[in-house]
Amino acid sequence: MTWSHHHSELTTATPAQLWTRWTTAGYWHVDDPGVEWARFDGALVEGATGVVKTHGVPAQTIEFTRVEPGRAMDFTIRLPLATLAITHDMAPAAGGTRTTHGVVLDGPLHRIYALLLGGTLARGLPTVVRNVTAGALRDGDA
Amino acid sequence: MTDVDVVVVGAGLSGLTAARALQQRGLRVRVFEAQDRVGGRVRSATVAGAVVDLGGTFVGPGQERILALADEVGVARHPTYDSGDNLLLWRKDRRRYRGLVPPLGVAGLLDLVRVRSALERLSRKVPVGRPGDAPDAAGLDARTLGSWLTAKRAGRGTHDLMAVVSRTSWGCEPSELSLLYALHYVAQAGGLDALLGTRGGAVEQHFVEGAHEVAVRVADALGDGTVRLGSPVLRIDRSGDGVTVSTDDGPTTARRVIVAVPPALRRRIRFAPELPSAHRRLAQRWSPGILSKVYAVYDTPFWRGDGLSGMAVSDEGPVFITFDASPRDASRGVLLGFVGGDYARDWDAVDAAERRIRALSALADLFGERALRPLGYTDHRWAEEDWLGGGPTAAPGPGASGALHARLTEPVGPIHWAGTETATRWAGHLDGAVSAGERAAREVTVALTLEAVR
Repeated sequence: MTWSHHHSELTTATPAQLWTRWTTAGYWHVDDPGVEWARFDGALVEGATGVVKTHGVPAQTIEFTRVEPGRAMDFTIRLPLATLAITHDMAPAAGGTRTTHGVVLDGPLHRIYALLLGGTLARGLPTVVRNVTAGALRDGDA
Repeated sequence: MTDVDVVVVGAGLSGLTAARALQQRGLRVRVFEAQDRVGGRVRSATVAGAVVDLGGTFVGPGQERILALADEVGVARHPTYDSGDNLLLWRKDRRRYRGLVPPLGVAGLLDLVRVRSALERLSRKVPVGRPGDAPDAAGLDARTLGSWLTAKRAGRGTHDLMAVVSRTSWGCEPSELSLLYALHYVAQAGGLDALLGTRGGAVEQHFVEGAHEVAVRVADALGDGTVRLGSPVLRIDRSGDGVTVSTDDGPTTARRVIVAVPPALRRRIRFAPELPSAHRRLAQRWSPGILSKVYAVYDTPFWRGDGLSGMAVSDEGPVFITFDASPRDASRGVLLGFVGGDYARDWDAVDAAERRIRALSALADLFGERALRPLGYTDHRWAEEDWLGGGPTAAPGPGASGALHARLTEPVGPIHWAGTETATRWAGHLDGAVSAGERAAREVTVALTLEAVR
């Protein structure tokens, strides 16, 4: 059993622009108001790791679990008796690109974490999606 | 002998109404307008064969002045479509509902009713036209609507719904707006139901040919040469016997001037001698909100076939509230969406193609994939209008309402003030613009009559 929440939007940003935005650690704190900083340990491939520091929370190790250039990128954070996955997908749609960000909680204590963190994570998704697309479009203009 | 009796600055509905009333009393009037069109915060466009209002749109019961003016110039109205179910897209759940009460669950509804009742009770203590005389006016003015909601322990759902009200009414977030200003705004409209309601409220009707047509017809009736477009007023010099109003085309002398621009735009005019300090502070602190409008025009109002009214509220944005603005004969389906407050700050900043796809994406979340394929689309960002700076009305922050409100209309020698913000009833609406213009014209007429008697 899992708890999940997703948010999709259409954008004129291209898959290449979005991919750059997703996979550049230096943009994460710009696009997500909750993030203080992020870094990756080497090349972005499945199984690669990194560290994310969110405001008010100790830095946490992340592991990339899905890396499909121009299409999808997921990473997970291990919590006591649960796993938090942050998912990113994109696909062509309606003359643009449909981009979807999600949060998925899994594991024995996923319901507890959903109660504690779920609302905040879910409410933040639309803002992050719009920040990413706006940043991707700015990158494209540069 | 002056060039004219009265100069009016601004050819919005308020300035035009003032000019019309003065002319009807036999006075010589000239209107200077900075933009190349009349109407100010009303403007219309035709999109895929449908007339749409890019600015002020709706009228309702109790708004006698705009209704009377529209009748006089022959612009007809029709009811805003409200048959069928409304939609609420809330926490990823799309629900149908009827009337003004959204389906928030028992606990959510009880909280909403509790907070809303408290707000209405508090608003009734604020004297209309004199918010500074309310009990503890300074205390109310020192807080924001948002901080009051927090102090009332409003639940997140209630807070988010009040944010919808705030973005729609003032183009800002609750955390940006003086509580006293919000309370007075609710009081002068006659309560939240009157302010927000379709049937029996301020969005009950709209104009067949668009609200802009009212302004166009009033301007046309003023006669050739009365309204000077593309003529921003740069300076107003006042002396004992009148004013000199300067534009790029030179000075115009008059016995009185009516400045009918949004309060923040008063700063664009150089007054000599300077205005009193409270008047200057008003112009500095009564900045407008940010509200943009989106229209998607379809071959038919397809949502009606699904039993939907076209009215929807969403907590996702950027389009956070919609209405069915289709023509009376339903020859086109027109969805009107609002983008305001923080949503507008993000959305206004992206290019036209991105604004379009984001807006249609939001409409599709509400009304289905068909919403992605309109015959026509347009949007209008009022914050991008150089001579208006935002909309729909002023959104003063904490500390800017109580003491400064009285300066909205207080003449400074031969300088009088109009504009919807200066109205004592329906300020921020089309009706307020008209009644404020009429009030300013009355003031000037009385002043000139008294001068003549002396």
